Amino acid sequence: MKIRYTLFFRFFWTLVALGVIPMAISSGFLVASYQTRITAVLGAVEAQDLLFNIGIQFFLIFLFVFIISTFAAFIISRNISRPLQVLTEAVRLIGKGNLKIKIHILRKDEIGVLGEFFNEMVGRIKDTQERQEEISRLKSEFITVAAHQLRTPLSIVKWAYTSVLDGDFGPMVEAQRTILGKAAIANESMIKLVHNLLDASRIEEGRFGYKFERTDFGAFLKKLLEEKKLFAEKKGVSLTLDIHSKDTLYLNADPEKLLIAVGNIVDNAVRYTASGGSVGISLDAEDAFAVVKIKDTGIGIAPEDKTRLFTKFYRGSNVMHLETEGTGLGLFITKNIIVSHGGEVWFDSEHTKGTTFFIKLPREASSKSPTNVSFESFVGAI
Amino acid sequence: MSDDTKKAQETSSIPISSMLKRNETKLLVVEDDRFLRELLVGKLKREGFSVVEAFNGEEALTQIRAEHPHLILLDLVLPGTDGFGVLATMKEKPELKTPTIVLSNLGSREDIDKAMDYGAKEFMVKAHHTPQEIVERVKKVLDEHYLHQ
Repeated sequence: MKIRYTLFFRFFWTLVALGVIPMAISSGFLVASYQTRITAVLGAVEAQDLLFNIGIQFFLIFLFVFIISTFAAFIISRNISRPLQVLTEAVRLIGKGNLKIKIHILRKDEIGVLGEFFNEMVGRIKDTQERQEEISRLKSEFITVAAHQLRTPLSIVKWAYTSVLDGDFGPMVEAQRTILGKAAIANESMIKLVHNLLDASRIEEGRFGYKFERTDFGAFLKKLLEEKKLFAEKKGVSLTLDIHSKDTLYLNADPEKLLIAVGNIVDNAVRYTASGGSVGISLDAEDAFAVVKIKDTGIGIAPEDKTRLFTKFYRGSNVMHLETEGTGLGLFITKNIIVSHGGEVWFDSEHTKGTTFFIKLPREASSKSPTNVSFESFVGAI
Repeated sequence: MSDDTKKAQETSSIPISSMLKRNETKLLVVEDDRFLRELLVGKLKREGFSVVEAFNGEEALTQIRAEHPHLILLDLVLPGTDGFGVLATMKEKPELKTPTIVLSNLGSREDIDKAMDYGAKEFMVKAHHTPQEIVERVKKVLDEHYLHQ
Protein backbone atom coordinates (compact mmCIF):
# COMPACT_ATOMS: atom_id res chain seq x y z
CA MET A 1 0.00 0.00 0.00
CA LYS A 2 1.33 3.45 -0.88
CA ILE A 3 1.88 5.63 2.18
CA ARG A 4 -0.33 8.44 0.90
CA TYR A 5 -3.33 6.11 0.74
CA THR A 6 -2.98 5.01 4.34
CA LEU A 7 -5.43 6.02 7.00
CA PHE A 8 -2.53 7.16 9.16
CA PHE A 9 -1.32 9.59 6.52
CA ARG A 10 -4.75 11.11 6.02
CA PHE A 11 -5.49 11.55 9.72
CA PHE A 12 -2.06 12.94 10.34
CA TRP A 13 -2.18 15.64 7.70
CA THR A 14 -5.78 16.57 8.42
CA LEU A 15 -4.97 17.16 12.08
CA VAL A 16 -1.79 19.07 11.32
CA ALA A 17 -3.66 21.24 8.83
CA LEU A 18 -6.47 21.87 11.31
CA GLY A 19 -3.97 23.11 13.87
CA VAL A 20 -1.72 25.16 11.61
CA ILE A 21 -3.98 26.75 8.96
CA PRO A 22 -6.28 28.78 11.36
CA MET A 23 -3.18 29.91 13.20
CA ALA A 24 -1.52 31.07 10.00
CA ILE A 25 -4.65 32.89 8.83
CA SER A 26 -5.28 34.67 12.14
CA SER A 27 -1.65 35.75 12.44
CA GLY A 28 -1.79 37.07 8.87
CA PHE A 29 -4.86 39.18 9.71
CA LEU A 30 -3.35 40.46 12.97
CA VAL A 31 -0.12 41.50 11.33
CA ALA A 32 -2.01 43.26 8.54
CA SER A 33 -4.29 45.26 10.90
CA TYR A 34 -1.46 46.26 13.29
CA GLN A 35 0.82 47.23 10.42
CA THR A 36 -1.34 50.15 9.22
CA ARG A 37 -1.89 51.46 12.76
CA ILE A 38 1.79 51.31 13.69
CA THR A 39 3.02 53.03 10.53
CA ALA A 40 0.39 55.80 11.09
CA VAL A 41 1.45 56.52 14.71
CA LEU A 42 5.22 55.91 14.77
CA GLY A 43 8.13 56.91 12.59
CA ALA A 44 9.19 54.69 9.72
CA VAL A 45 12.33 53.26 11.44
CA GLU A 46 10.60 52.41 14.73
CA ALA A 47 7.67 50.98 12.86
CA GLN A 48 10.04 48.78 10.84
CA ASP A 49 11.63 47.55 14.07
CA LEU A 50 8.36 46.81 15.78
CA LEU A 51 6.96 45.04 12.74
CA PHE A 52 10.07 42.87 12.55
CA ASN A 53 9.59 41.94 16.24
CA ILE A 54 5.96 41.09 15.70
CA GLY A 55 6.94 38.99 12.68
CA ILE A 56 9.47 37.03 14.76
CA GLN A 57 6.98 36.52 17.60
CA PHE A 58 4.29 35.27 15.27
CA PHE A 59 6.77 32.99 13.54
CA LEU A 60 7.80 31.46 16.89
CA ILE A 61 4.21 30.96 17.96
CA PHE A 62 3.47 29.46 14.56
CA LEU A 63 6.43 27.09 14.88
CA PHE A 64 5.36 26.09 18.38
CA VAL A 65 1.80 25.34 17.28
CA PHE A 66 3.12 23.42 14.28
CA ILE A 67 5.31 21.20 16.46
CA ILE A 68 2.56 20.60 19.03
CA SER A 69 -0.05 19.79 16.40
CA THR A 70 2.30 17.48 14.51
CA PHE A 71 3.06 15.65 17.69
CA ALA A 72 -0.61 15.35 18.68
CA ALA A 73 -1.62 14.34 15.15
CA PHE A 74 0.99 11.62 15.12
CA ILE A 75 -0.19 10.19 18.44
CA ILE A 76 -3.90 10.25 17.52
CA SER A 77 -3.40 8.85 14.01
CA ARG A 78 -1.20 6.07 15.28
CA ASN A 79 -3.74 5.26 17.94
CA ILE A 80 -6.36 4.66 15.29
CA SER A 81 -4.28 3.00 12.60
CA ARG A 82 -2.20 0.63 14.74
CA PRO A 83 -5.05 -1.58 15.99
CA LEU A 84 -6.42 -1.66 12.45
CA GLN A 85 -3.06 -2.91 11.20
CA VAL A 86 -3.06 -5.60 13.86
CA LEU A 87 -6.58 -6.65 12.88
CA THR A 88 -5.68 -6.67 9.19
CA GLU A 89 -2.68 -8.90 9.85
CA ALA A 90 -4.84 -11.22 11.96
CA VAL A 91 -7.50 -11.47 9.25
CA ARG A 92 -4.81 -12.18 6.67
CA LEU A 93 -3.44 -15.05 8.76
CA ILE A 94 -6.94 -16.46 9.31
CA GLY A 95 -7.56 -16.27 5.60
CA LYS A 96 -4.49 -18.45 5.19
CA GLY A 97 -6.05 -20.98 7.53
CA ASN A 98 -4.28 -20.21 10.80
CA LEU A 99 -7.01 -20.21 13.42
CA LYS A 100 -4.79 -20.17 16.48
CA ILE A 101 -4.91 -16.36 16.55
CA LYS A 102 -6.16 -14.31 19.46
CA ILE A 103 -5.62 -10.57 19.60
CA HIS A 104 -4.90 -8.81 22.86
CA ILE A 105 -6.70 -5.50 23.00
CA LEU A 106 -6.88 -3.74 26.35
CA ARG A 107 -8.80 -0.70 25.09
CA LYS A 108 -12.35 -0.14 26.16
CA ASP A 109 -13.38 2.02 23.18
CA GLU A 110 -14.99 1.03 19.87
CA ILE A 111 -11.79 -0.59 18.63
CA GLY A 112 -11.60 -2.63 21.82
CA VAL A 113 -15.15 -3.89 21.23
CA LEU A 114 -14.28 -4.75 17.65
CA GLY A 115 -11.32 -6.76 18.90
CA GLU A 116 -13.49 -8.68 21.34
CA PHE A 117 -16.00 -9.54 18.63
CA PHE A 118 -13.15 -10.56 16.41
CA ASN A 119 -11.80 -12.99 18.98
CA GLU A 120 -15.29 -14.40 19.50
CA MET A 121 -15.75 -14.90 15.75
CA VAL A 122 -12.41 -16.67 15.36
CA GLY A 123 -13.41 -18.97 18.21
CA ARG A 124 -16.65 -19.88 16.46
CA ILE A 125 -14.88 -20.54 13.14
CA LYS A 126 -12.38 -22.72 14.95
CA ASP A 127 -15.17 -24.74 16.57
CA THR A 128 -16.92 -25.24 13.25
CA GLN A 129 -13.71 -26.28 11.56
CA GLU A 130 -12.87 -28.73 14.29
CA ARG A 131 -16.34 -30.21 14.09
CA GLN A 132 -16.03 -30.56 10.33
CA GLU A 133 -12.65 -32.25 10.64
CA GLU A 134 -14.11 -34.63 13.17
CA ILE A 135 -17.06 -35.41 10.89
CA SER A 136 -14.75 -35.97 7.95
CA ARG A 137 -12.56 -38.27 10.05
CA LEU A 138 -15.58 -40.22 11.27
CA LYS A 139 -16.89 -40.47 7.73
CA SER A 140 -13.70 -41.92 6.35
CA GLU A 141 -13.49 -44.29 9.30
CA PHE A 142 -17.06 -45.34 8.63
CA ILE A 143 -16.29 -45.92 4.97
CA THR A 144 -13.29 -48.09 5.80
CA VAL A 145 -15.32 -50.16 8.22
CA ALA A 146 -18.30 -50.34 5.90
CA ALA A 147 -16.12 -51.36 2.98
CA HIS A 148 -14.59 -54.12 4.99
CA GLN A 149 -17.89 -55.21 6.47
CA LEU A 150 -19.66 -55.22 3.11
CA ARG A 151 -16.82 -56.65 1.10
CA THR A 152 -16.14 -59.56 3.42
CA PRO A 153 -19.55 -61.23 3.00
CA LEU A 154 -19.44 -60.37 -0.71
CA SER A 155 -16.05 -62.09 -0.99
CA ILE A 156 -17.37 -65.11 0.88
CA VAL A 157 -20.30 -65.40 -1.54
CA LYS A 158 -18.03 -64.86 -4.53
CA TRP A 159 -15.41 -67.37 -3.47
CA ALA A 160 -18.11 -69.90 -2.59
CA TYR A 161 -19.89 -69.82 -5.94
CA THR A 162 -16.69 -69.66 -7.98
CA SER A 163 -15.41 -72.74 -6.17
CA VAL A 164 -18.68 -74.53 -6.88
CA LEU A 165 -18.73 -73.32 -10.51
CA ASP A 166 -15.08 -74.39 -10.94
CA GLY A 167 -16.17 -77.89 -9.98
CA ASP A 168 -14.11 -77.98 -6.81
CA PHE A 169 -16.99 -79.71 -5.04
CA GLY A 170 -17.93 -82.15 -7.78
CA PRO A 171 -19.63 -81.80 -11.15
CA MET A 172 -22.81 -79.77 -11.63
CA VAL A 173 -25.78 -80.15 -13.93
CA GLU A 174 -26.52 -77.36 -16.40
CA ALA A 175 -29.58 -76.06 -14.52
CA GLN A 176 -27.54 -75.68 -11.33
CA ARG A 177 -24.86 -73.88 -13.24
CA THR A 178 -27.38 -71.45 -14.77
CA ILE A 179 -29.04 -70.58 -11.51
CA LEU A 180 -25.73 -70.08 -9.75
CA GLY A 181 -24.56 -67.95 -12.68
CA LYS A 182 -27.52 -65.61 -12.07
CA ALA A 183 -26.61 -65.30 -8.41
CA ALA A 184 -23.02 -64.61 -9.47
CA ILE A 185 -24.08 -61.70 -11.71
CA ALA A 186 -26.09 -60.11 -8.91
CA ASN A 187 -23.19 -60.50 -6.49
CA GLU A 188 -20.78 -58.99 -8.99
CA SER A 189 -22.99 -55.93 -9.38
CA MET A 190 -23.07 -55.55 -5.58
CA ILE A 191 -19.26 -55.69 -5.52
CA LYS A 192 -19.14 -53.06 -8.25
CA LEU A 193 -21.58 -50.88 -6.32
CA VAL A 194 -19.46 -51.04 -3.16
CA HIS A 195 -16.38 -50.22 -5.21
CA ASN A 196 -18.06 -47.22 -6.83
CA LEU A 197 -19.42 -46.05 -3.49
CA LEU A 198 -15.93 -46.08 -2.06
CA ASP A 199 -14.60 -44.12 -5.03
CA ALA A 200 -17.44 -41.59 -4.80
CA SER A 201 -16.86 -41.09 -1.06
CA ARG A 202 -13.14 -40.61 -1.57
CA ILE A 203 -13.87 -38.10 -4.32
CA GLU A 204 -16.20 -36.18 -2.01
CA GLU A 205 -13.58 -36.08 0.71
CA GLY A 206 -11.02 -34.86 -1.79
CA ARG A 207 -8.66 -37.74 -1.07
CA PHE A 208 -8.98 -39.77 -4.21
CA GLY A 209 -5.19 -39.79 -4.35
CA TYR A 210 -4.21 -38.61 -7.82
CA LYS A 211 -0.74 -39.47 -9.10
CA PHE A 212 -0.08 -37.45 -12.20
CA GLU A 213 2.54 -38.67 -14.64
CA ARG A 214 3.47 -38.19 -18.30
CA THR A 215 1.04 -40.36 -20.24
CA ASP A 216 0.96 -41.21 -23.93
CA PHE A 217 -2.76 -40.77 -24.52
CA GLY A 218 -2.90 -42.73 -27.80
CA ALA A 219 -1.21 -45.73 -26.21
CA PHE A 220 -3.51 -45.35 -23.22
CA LEU A 221 -6.60 -45.55 -25.44
CA LYS A 222 -5.22 -48.60 -27.27
CA LYS A 223 -4.83 -50.34 -23.93
CA LEU A 224 -8.36 -49.33 -22.97
CA LEU A 225 -9.66 -50.74 -26.27
CA GLU A 226 -7.97 -54.08 -25.57
CA GLU A 227 -9.57 -54.21 -22.16
CA LYS A 228 -13.07 -53.47 -23.40
CA LYS A 229 -12.95 -55.54 -26.59
CA LEU A 230 -14.12 -58.76 -24.97
CA PHE A 231 -17.14 -57.09 -23.37
CA ALA A 232 -18.11 -55.52 -26.72
CA GLU A 233 -17.68 -58.82 -28.58
CA LYS A 234 -19.91 -60.55 -26.05
CA LYS A 235 -22.59 -57.93 -26.67
CA GLY A 236 -22.18 -58.13 -30.44
CA VAL A 237 -21.15 -54.46 -30.67
CA SER A 238 -18.24 -53.39 -32.86
CA LEU A 239 -15.72 -51.30 -30.94
CA THR A 240 -13.14 -49.27 -32.89
CA LEU A 241 -10.44 -46.72 -32.20
CA ASP A 242 -9.23 -44.00 -34.62
CA ILE A 243 -6.30 -41.85 -33.70
CA HIS A 244 -6.38 -38.81 -35.99
CA SER A 245 -3.51 -36.90 -34.45
CA LYS A 246 -0.15 -37.42 -36.13
CA ASP A 247 1.89 -36.34 -33.12
CA THR A 248 2.02 -38.42 -30.00
CA LEU A 249 -0.28 -36.71 -27.53
CA TYR A 250 1.16 -36.53 -24.04
CA LEU A 251 -0.96 -35.67 -21.04
CA ASN A 252 -0.09 -35.06 -17.46
CA ALA A 253 -2.53 -37.63 -16.10
CA ASP A 254 -3.21 -40.38 -13.62
CA PRO A 255 -3.63 -43.35 -15.99
CA GLU A 256 -5.37 -45.54 -13.42
CA LYS A 257 -8.03 -42.93 -12.66
CA LEU A 258 -8.36 -41.92 -16.29
CA LEU A 259 -9.00 -45.57 -17.15
CA ILE A 260 -11.95 -45.52 -14.76
CA ALA A 261 -13.24 -42.25 -16.23
CA VAL A 262 -13.01 -43.09 -19.93
CA GLY A 263 -13.79 -46.75 -19.21
CA ASN A 264 -17.13 -45.84 -17.62
CA ILE A 265 -18.20 -43.97 -20.74
CA VAL A 266 -17.10 -46.77 -23.06
CA ASP A 267 -18.84 -49.33 -20.83
CA ASN A 268 -22.06 -47.31 -20.95
CA ALA A 269 -21.80 -46.90 -24.73
CA VAL A 270 -21.41 -50.65 -25.24
CA ARG A 271 -23.98 -51.58 -22.61
CA TYR A 272 -26.72 -49.37 -24.02
CA THR A 273 -26.12 -50.22 -27.68
CA ALA A 274 -28.07 -53.11 -29.15
CA SER A 275 -26.34 -56.07 -30.76
CA GLY A 276 -25.18 -55.19 -34.28
CA GLY A 277 -24.54 -51.57 -33.36
CA SER A 278 -21.20 -49.82 -33.11
CA VAL A 279 -19.14 -47.78 -30.70
CA GLY A 280 -16.39 -45.63 -32.19
CA ILE A 281 -13.67 -43.97 -30.16
CA SER A 282 -11.63 -41.26 -31.85
CA LEU A 283 -8.81 -39.02 -30.71
CA ASP A 284 -8.03 -35.54 -32.10
CA ALA A 285 -5.64 -32.80 -31.11
CA GLU A 286 -7.08 -29.30 -30.67
CA ASP A 287 -4.34 -26.77 -29.86
CA ALA A 288 -3.42 -27.34 -26.24
CA PHE A 289 -6.06 -30.02 -25.78
CA ALA A 290 -6.69 -33.65 -26.66
CA VAL A 291 -10.30 -34.48 -27.49
CA VAL A 292 -11.74 -37.98 -27.30
CA LYS A 293 -15.06 -38.68 -28.95
CA ILE A 294 -17.03 -41.79 -28.01
CA LYS A 295 -19.88 -42.24 -30.44
CA ASP A 296 -22.45 -45.00 -30.14
CA THR A 297 -25.57 -46.08 -32.03
CA GLY A 298 -27.38 -46.90 -28.79
CA ILE A 299 -30.64 -45.96 -27.14
CA GLY A 300 -29.68 -42.33 -26.57
CA ILE A 301 -30.47 -40.10 -23.63
CA ALA A 302 -33.98 -38.75 -23.07
CA PRO A 303 -34.18 -34.91 -23.09
CA GLU A 304 -35.46 -34.83 -19.49
CA ASP A 305 -32.39 -36.75 -18.27
CA LYS A 306 -29.81 -34.53 -19.91
CA THR A 307 -29.29 -32.00 -17.15
CA ARG A 308 -28.91 -34.51 -14.34
CA LEU A 309 -26.78 -37.12 -16.07
CA PHE A 310 -23.60 -36.40 -14.13
CA THR A 311 -25.36 -36.33 -10.76
CA LYS A 312 -24.76 -38.97 -8.14
CA PHE A 313 -27.14 -41.95 -8.19
CA TYR A 314 -28.92 -40.67 -11.26
CA ARG A 315 -29.78 -43.16 -13.96
CA GLY A 316 -31.46 -42.41 -17.25
CA SER A 317 -35.20 -43.17 -17.29
CA ASN A 318 -34.85 -45.37 -20.38
CA VAL A 319 -32.02 -47.51 -19.04
CA MET A 320 -33.72 -48.33 -15.73
CA HIS A 321 -36.22 -50.54 -17.55
CA LEU A 322 -33.60 -51.97 -19.85
CA GLU A 323 -31.06 -53.14 -17.31
CA THR A 324 -31.16 -53.35 -13.57
CA GLU A 325 -27.40 -53.38 -13.38
CA GLY A 326 -25.67 -50.03 -13.03
CA THR A 327 -24.98 -48.00 -9.94
CA GLY A 328 -25.74 -44.46 -11.04
CA LEU A 329 -22.27 -43.46 -9.90
CA GLY A 330 -20.21 -44.05 -13.04
CA LEU A 331 -20.66 -40.67 -14.71
CA PHE A 332 -20.41 -38.79 -11.42
CA ILE A 333 -17.00 -40.41 -10.90
CA THR A 334 -16.05 -39.81 -14.54
CA LYS A 335 -16.86 -36.11 -14.38
CA ASN A 336 -14.88 -35.59 -11.19
CA ILE A 337 -11.83 -37.37 -12.58
CA ILE A 338 -11.92 -35.38 -15.84
CA VAL A 339 -12.37 -32.07 -14.01
CA SER A 340 -9.50 -32.93 -11.68
CA HIS A 341 -7.38 -33.37 -14.80
CA GLY A 342 -8.29 -29.82 -15.84
CA GLY A 343 -10.61 -31.14 -18.55
CA GLU A 344 -14.25 -31.12 -19.54
CA VAL A 345 -16.79 -33.76 -20.43
CA TRP A 346 -20.07 -33.27 -22.29
CA PHE A 347 -22.35 -35.07 -24.69
CA ASP A 348 -24.68 -34.83 -27.65
CA SER A 349 -27.55 -37.22 -27.83
CA GLU A 350 -30.55 -37.97 -29.92
CA HIS A 351 -33.14 -40.05 -28.14
CA THR A 352 -33.25 -43.62 -29.58
CA LYS A 353 -30.59 -42.77 -32.19
CA GLY A 354 -27.34 -42.69 -30.24
CA THR A 355 -25.05 -40.65 -28.07
CA THR A 356 -21.66 -39.03 -28.51
CA PHE A 357 -19.59 -38.22 -25.45
CA PHE A 358 -16.72 -35.73 -25.68
CA ILE A 359 -13.80 -35.64 -23.30
CA LYS A 360 -11.43 -32.70 -23.59
CA LEU A 361 -8.17 -32.96 -21.67
CA PRO A 362 -5.31 -30.44 -21.51
CA ARG A 363 -2.09 -31.59 -23.13
CA GLU A 364 1.11 -31.75 -21.17
CA ALA A 365 2.36 -28.26 -21.98
CA SER A 366 -1.01 -26.58 -21.42
CA SER A 367 -1.39 -24.21 -18.49
CA LYS A 368 -4.48 -26.15 -17.41
CA SER A 369 -2.49 -29.33 -17.10
CA PRO A 370 -2.75 -30.51 -13.48
CA THR A 371 0.27 -30.71 -11.25
CA ASN A 372 -1.17 -31.00 -7.82
CA VAL A 373 -4.84 -31.23 -6.98
CA SER A 374 -5.70 -29.67 -3.70
CA PHE A 375 -8.95 -29.95 -1.83
CA GLU A 376 -9.82 -26.35 -2.69
CA SER A 377 -9.52 -26.85 -6.39
CA PHE A 378 -11.56 -29.99 -6.01
CA VAL A 379 -14.37 -28.18 -4.23
CA GLY A 380 -14.22 -25.42 -6.80
CA ALA A 381 -14.46 -27.98 -9.52
CA ILE A 382 -17.78 -29.49 -8.47
CA MET B 1 24.29 -69.78 5.98
CA SER B 2 21.02 -68.03 6.67
CA ASP B 3 17.71 -69.77 6.13
CA ASP B 4 16.91 -67.34 3.39
CA THR B 5 19.89 -68.21 1.23
CA LYS B 6 19.40 -71.92 1.97
CA LYS B 7 15.82 -71.62 0.84
CA ALA B 8 16.85 -69.74 -2.27
CA GLN B 9 19.49 -72.34 -3.13
CA GLU B 10 17.08 -75.20 -2.61
CA THR B 11 14.55 -73.66 -4.89
CA SER B 12 16.48 -71.65 -7.44
CA SER B 13 17.05 -74.50 -9.89
CA ILE B 14 13.68 -76.21 -9.55
CA PRO B 15 10.72 -75.08 -11.61
CA ILE B 16 7.64 -74.26 -9.56
CA SER B 17 5.58 -77.01 -11.20
CA SER B 18 7.88 -79.82 -10.05
CA MET B 19 8.11 -78.28 -6.60
CA LEU B 20 4.36 -78.26 -6.42
CA LYS B 21 4.15 -81.99 -7.20
CA ARG B 22 6.38 -82.74 -4.29
CA ASN B 23 4.42 -80.44 -1.95
CA GLU B 24 7.57 -78.42 -1.41
CA THR B 25 6.25 -74.92 -1.75
CA LYS B 26 5.03 -73.72 1.58
CA LEU B 27 2.52 -70.88 1.81
CA LEU B 28 1.26 -69.02 4.83
CA VAL B 29 -2.36 -67.84 4.69
CA VAL B 30 -3.16 -65.07 7.18
CA GLU B 31 -6.91 -64.47 7.28
CA ASP B 32 -9.24 -63.90 10.20
CA ASP B 33 -12.44 -65.06 8.54
CA ARG B 34 -12.58 -68.81 9.04
CA PHE B 35 -14.70 -69.61 6.00
CA LEU B 36 -12.55 -67.60 3.61
CA ARG B 37 -9.42 -69.09 5.08
CA GLU B 38 -10.69 -72.65 4.73
CA LEU B 39 -11.85 -72.04 1.17
CA LEU B 40 -8.55 -70.56 0.11
CA VAL B 41 -6.44 -73.11 1.97
CA GLY B 42 -8.49 -75.94 0.39
CA LYS B 43 -7.96 -74.46 -3.06
CA LEU B 44 -4.21 -73.98 -2.54
CA LYS B 45 -3.80 -77.52 -1.19
CA ARG B 46 -5.60 -78.95 -4.21
CA GLU B 47 -3.14 -76.98 -6.34
CA GLY B 48 -0.30 -78.83 -4.64
CA PHE B 49 0.97 -76.23 -2.18
CA SER B 50 1.69 -77.07 1.38
CA VAL B 51 -0.15 -74.51 3.49
CA VAL B 52 0.13 -73.21 7.03
CA GLU B 53 -2.45 -70.86 8.51
CA ALA B 54 -2.68 -67.93 10.87
CA PHE B 55 -5.71 -65.91 11.96
CA ASN B 56 -4.00 -62.84 13.37
CA GLY B 57 -0.80 -60.84 13.14
CA GLU B 58 0.99 -62.31 16.16
CA GLU B 59 0.31 -65.84 14.98
CA ALA B 60 1.46 -64.90 11.49
CA LEU B 61 4.84 -63.74 12.85
CA THR B 62 5.20 -66.92 14.93
CA GLN B 63 4.45 -69.03 11.85
CA ILE B 64 6.93 -67.07 9.72
CA ARG B 65 9.66 -67.73 12.33
CA ALA B 66 8.79 -71.41 12.73
CA GLU B 67 7.83 -72.47 9.22
CA HIS B 68 9.80 -70.16 6.88
CA PRO B 69 7.09 -70.08 4.21
CA HIS B 70 8.06 -69.30 0.61
CA LEU B 71 5.20 -66.85 0.25
CA ILE B 72 2.61 -65.17 2.45
CA LEU B 73 -0.99 -64.33 1.60
CA LEU B 74 -1.75 -61.57 4.07
CA ASP B 75 -5.01 -59.95 5.11
CA LEU B 76 -4.69 -56.37 6.42
CA VAL B 77 -7.58 -55.94 8.85
CA LEU B 78 -6.79 -58.44 11.59
CA PRO B 79 -7.45 -58.60 15.33
CA GLY B 80 -4.42 -57.45 17.35
CA THR B 81 -1.38 -56.75 15.17
CA ASP B 82 -2.77 -55.99 11.74
CA GLY B 83 -1.34 -56.80 8.33
CA PHE B 84 0.58 -53.52 8.16
CA GLY B 85 2.19 -54.46 11.48
CA VAL B 86 3.28 -57.80 10.06
CA LEU B 87 4.72 -56.11 6.96
CA ALA B 88 6.51 -53.55 9.12
CA THR B 89 8.09 -56.26 11.28
CA MET B 90 9.24 -58.16 8.18
CA LYS B 91 10.75 -54.98 6.79
CA GLU B 92 12.64 -54.35 10.02
CA LYS B 93 13.96 -57.89 10.42
CA PRO B 94 15.65 -59.20 7.28
CA GLU B 95 15.60 -62.80 8.56
CA LEU B 96 11.79 -62.76 8.41
CA LYS B 97 11.56 -61.22 4.95
CA THR B 98 9.23 -63.24 2.73
CA PRO B 99 7.50 -62.32 -0.55
CA THR B 100 3.98 -61.26 0.35
CA ILE B 101 0.74 -60.87 -1.54
CA VAL B 102 -1.66 -58.63 0.33
CA LEU B 103 -5.19 -59.96 0.14
CA SER B 104 -7.54 -57.48 1.70
CA ASN B 105 -10.82 -55.71 1.31
CA LEU B 106 -9.18 -52.36 1.88
CA GLY B 107 -8.05 -50.90 -1.38
CA SER B 108 -7.71 -47.13 -1.37
CA ARG B 109 -4.63 -45.66 -3.02
CA GLU B 110 -3.27 -44.84 0.45
CA ASP B 111 -3.61 -48.42 1.68
CA ILE B 112 -2.05 -49.82 -1.48
CA ASP B 113 0.85 -47.37 -1.38
CA LYS B 114 1.44 -48.09 2.29
CA ALA B 115 1.48 -51.87 1.76
CA MET B 116 3.80 -51.55 -1.25
CA ASP B 117 6.14 -49.25 0.71
CA TYR B 118 6.37 -51.93 3.37
CA GLY B 119 7.53 -54.36 0.69
CA ALA B 120 4.40 -56.23 -0.43
CA LYS B 121 4.73 -57.74 -3.92
CA GLU B 122 1.08 -57.51 -4.93
CA PHE B 123 -2.14 -56.05 -3.61
CA MET B 124 -5.37 -57.91 -4.35
CA VAL B 125 -8.85 -56.87 -3.24
CA LYS B 126 -10.61 -60.02 -2.10
CA ALA B 127 -14.00 -59.10 -3.47
CA HIS B 128 -12.48 -58.43 -6.91
CA HIS B 129 -10.65 -61.74 -7.39
CA THR B 130 -11.61 -65.40 -7.41
CA PRO B 131 -9.56 -68.06 -5.59
CA GLN B 132 -8.38 -69.25 -9.02
CA GLU B 133 -7.01 -65.79 -9.85
CA ILE B 134 -5.26 -65.72 -6.49
CA VAL B 135 -3.62 -69.11 -7.24
CA GLU B 136 -2.37 -67.75 -10.56
CA ARG B 137 -0.96 -64.65 -8.90
CA VAL B 138 0.75 -66.80 -6.26
CA LYS B 139 2.46 -68.83 -8.99
CA LYS B 140 3.50 -65.67 -10.82
CA VAL B 141 5.06 -64.13 -7.73
CA LEU B 142 6.82 -67.39 -6.82
CA ASP B 143 8.16 -67.63 -10.36
CA GLU B 144 9.42 -64.06 -10.35
CA HIS B 145 10.93 -64.24 -6.91
CA TYR B 146 12.59 -67.64 -6.91
CA LEU B 147 13.20 -68.49 -10.58
CA HIS B 148 13.90 -65.24 -12.40
CA GLN B 149 15.97 -63.32 -9.91
